[in-house]
Amino acid sequence: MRITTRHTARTVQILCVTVTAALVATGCGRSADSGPGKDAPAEIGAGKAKGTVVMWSMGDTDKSLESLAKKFEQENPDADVKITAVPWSAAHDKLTTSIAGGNTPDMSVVGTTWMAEMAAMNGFQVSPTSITSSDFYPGQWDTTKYKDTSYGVPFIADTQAIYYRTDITTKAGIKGAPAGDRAGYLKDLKAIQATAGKQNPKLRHATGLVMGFNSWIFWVPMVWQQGGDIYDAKTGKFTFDSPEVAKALEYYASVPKQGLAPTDRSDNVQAFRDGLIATYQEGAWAGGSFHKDAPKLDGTWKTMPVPYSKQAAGFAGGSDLAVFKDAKNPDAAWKFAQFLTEPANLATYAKATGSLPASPGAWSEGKLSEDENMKAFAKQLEVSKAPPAITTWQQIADVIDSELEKLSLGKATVAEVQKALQSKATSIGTGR
Amino acid sequence: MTSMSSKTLPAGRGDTSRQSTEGSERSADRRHSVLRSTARGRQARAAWILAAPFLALFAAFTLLPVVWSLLMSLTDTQSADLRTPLNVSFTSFDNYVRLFQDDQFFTALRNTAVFVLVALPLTLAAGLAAAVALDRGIQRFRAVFRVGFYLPVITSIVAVAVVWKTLLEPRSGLVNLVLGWFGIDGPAWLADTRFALPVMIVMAVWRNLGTVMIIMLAGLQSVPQSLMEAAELDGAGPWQRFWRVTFPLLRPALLLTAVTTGIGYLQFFDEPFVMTGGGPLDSTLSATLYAYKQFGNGNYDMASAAGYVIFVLIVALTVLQFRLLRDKD
Repeated sequence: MRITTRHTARTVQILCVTVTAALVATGCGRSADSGPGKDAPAEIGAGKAKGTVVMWSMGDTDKSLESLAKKFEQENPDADVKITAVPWSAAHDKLTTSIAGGNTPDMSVVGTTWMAEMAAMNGFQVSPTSITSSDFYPGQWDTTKYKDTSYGVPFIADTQAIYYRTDITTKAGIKGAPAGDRAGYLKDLKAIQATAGKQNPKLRHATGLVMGFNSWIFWVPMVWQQGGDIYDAKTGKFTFDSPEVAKALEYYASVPKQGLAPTDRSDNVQAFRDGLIATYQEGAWAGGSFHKDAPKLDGTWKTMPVPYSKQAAGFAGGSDLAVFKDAKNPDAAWKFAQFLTEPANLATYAKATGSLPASPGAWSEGKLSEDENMKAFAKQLEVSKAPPAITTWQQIADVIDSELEKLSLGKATVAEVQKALQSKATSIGTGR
Repeated sequence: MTSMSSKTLPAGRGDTSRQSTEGSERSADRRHSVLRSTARGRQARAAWILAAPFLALFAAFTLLPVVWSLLMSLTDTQSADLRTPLNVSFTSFDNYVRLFQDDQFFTALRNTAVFVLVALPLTLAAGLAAAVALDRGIQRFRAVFRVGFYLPVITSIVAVAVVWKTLLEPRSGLVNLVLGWFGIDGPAWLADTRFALPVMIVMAVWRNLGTVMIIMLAGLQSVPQSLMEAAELDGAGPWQRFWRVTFPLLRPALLLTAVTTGIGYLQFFDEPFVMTGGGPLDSTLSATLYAYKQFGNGNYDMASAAGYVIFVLIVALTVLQFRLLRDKD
C-alpha cells in the first residue's frame, strides 16, 4: 500500500515535471511583441528559389498541382517541391496539431474559414507586400485577413449560384431565367410548384433547401443583401438583433413554410438530377459533376446569380495558400505561392480542376466566361463577401445552422431565433 | 556441584550447539531468502525490461494525454493557446460548471442515456436468443448463420453507416421504396426527430448482437451435458432447464458482454457523426459527439471536461453492472 502511494507520488512528480518542461519548451523563444496582428510582413528575396519546399494540398492527389510544381522546378532548377495530399476531412485537425507542435511543412492549402483560427494560433507568416490585394477578388482577399493583417494568398475561390432546370421552368411558363430579385424569384418558385404533378410529373418541390451543417453559407448572404451584417468589426459586437437579420430569417423560413422546398435533408444534387426539384443553390463544382455523371441532362440546366433584395451579395469561400511560421524554407515557399497565383498558372489550374480562380486576371486569362454557365459565378465573385474573421467563427456558424434548422422545421419563430442567435453568439464571443 | 556442572555443561554445550545449529539454520534461511530475493529481483527486472516498451508507449500516448487532458479541463485552453501555453490560466471547475449550464450537453447526455438503456438490453437479449437458437436447432446451417450474424461486427462502422444512410434516403432509398410497394409513404428517417435515434438503436443492435452471440454460444457449449441430463431426470422442462441451469452458468458471459457493449454504447459516436451530424435538432447528438464538436471548435478545455464526465459515467455504469451481474458466491 505504502509502496504504491510512493510510486504514484513519484509518477505524479515526473508527470508534473514533464508537463512543465513541455510548456516551457513550447512557450519559450517567443517575445511579447510578435504574434497575431503584430508581425512584420514576410520578405521575398530576389533571385530564384532554392531548396526543398514541402507543401500540403487538400483532397486527392492533385495532378494539376504537381504539373505546375514541375514547371516551377524547371524555372528554378535548385528548387524541389514536394506535395503531400491530405484528405479534407482530416485537414483541419492536422493543420492545428502541426502548428501547435511546431512541426509544419513549409506551406499549405488552407480552407478560407480556418484562416482566422490558425492565424490566431500564431501559425502563419504575414503575406509579403509584393503580393498585392488588388490582383484578387476583394471577398477572396478578405478571407486571408485576421485583425486587418493578411496571412496568405487567395488560391481557389468558391461561391454559389442558382442552378435551374430549363425543362421544368419553361413548362411553368417562365421565359428565360427565373427573376433575379427576391420577391420575383419567390413568385416564380410558386409558379413552378403549381405545375408539380400535371405538367411536371416528377417534380415534388420548386427548390431545394440546405438544412443543418453549413446552411449558414446560404443564409448569411441574405443578410448582406439587405445591406446589413451579423457582426460589426469596429465595435466587435454581433448584430443579430438588427432588422436586416429579421428580414433574412423571414425569407429563409418562407420557402419551406410555403411548401416550396423539402425539409427532409434529401440530397439536392440527386434530387435536381432526378427532376424532383427545379432549382437549387450550389458551388461551381456541381455543374462539373452534372456534366460528368449525368451527361444526358446537358443543355437542360443553366445557372443564374443568387437573387437579391437590395444589393447583390454572396458567400466567398474556397481555399488560400499560407506559409507557416515554422517553415524551413519560407523564401522558396512564398515564391511558389506567388508562382501558383500568377494569372496564367492559376488559370491553368482552375481549368484543369474545374474550380474558380481567386483573381479576375486568371479568370480572363483562362477565358472561363466562354462557358455560358460560368458567367453567373463570375458575377457572384465580384460581390462575394467573407464571413467575419474571428477565431470563434465555426462555433457561431454551428449556432446559426442549428437555429436555422429550428426555423425551417417550424420549431421556433423568427423572433425567437433572432433572440437566440444574438444571445448565444454574444456568450460565445469572438475569441482571444 | 560437579554433577550439576556436569549436568549443566552438556546442557550448556547442548545449548550452544543448539544455538549454533539454530544460527546456521537461520543464516541458511537468510542465504536462501537472499538467493530467492535475487532470483525474484532478477525476474522482476526481466519483467520490467520486457514490459518497458509497452509502458513507455503507454505513458507517452495514453497516460500523458489523459493527465494532460485532465489538466486542460481545469484551465481555459483554446486552440489559440497551443503555441503560447503561458497565456493559459487555471480556472478550477469553471468548465464543468459551464458544461452543466449548457442545455445542449444535457440533450447529448439524455440521447446517450436513451441509446444505452434501450440498445444494451435489446442487444443482450437478441444476442442470447441468437446463441440459443444456434445451439439448439438449425444444426445444418449453423456456420452460415454464425457468419451472417457476425459479419456486421467486423465490417467498418463507417461503411455500415454510409450504406444504411443510402438505404434510408427519403426518396431514392431502398427502405422507402419497399414500403411504397405496400402503399406506405415512408418518412424521412434520418431527418425526423421521431425516427433518427430509434434507427440508430436498431442499427446498433443489428451490428453488435454478433459479438454477444459468439460469447454466449461459447458459454452455452461449455454447460456440462451431465447437468442437463440430471435436471431432465429430476423432471425439469426445457424452460426450467434453461432458467435454472443454463442461465446461471452464463452469468460470466453475460457480465463480460454487458460491460464491453455498455462501454461501447456510452461512447456512441460514429453513427450520428456519419449519418446525421447530431441532428435533426440535436436529436442524435451524443455525449462523445458533443465533446468532439467542442474539440473541433478549438475549445479544448470544454472538450476535455466533457470527456471526463463521460469517463465518470462509464466507470459508474461498469461498477453498477459488476454489482448486478457478479456471481453472488
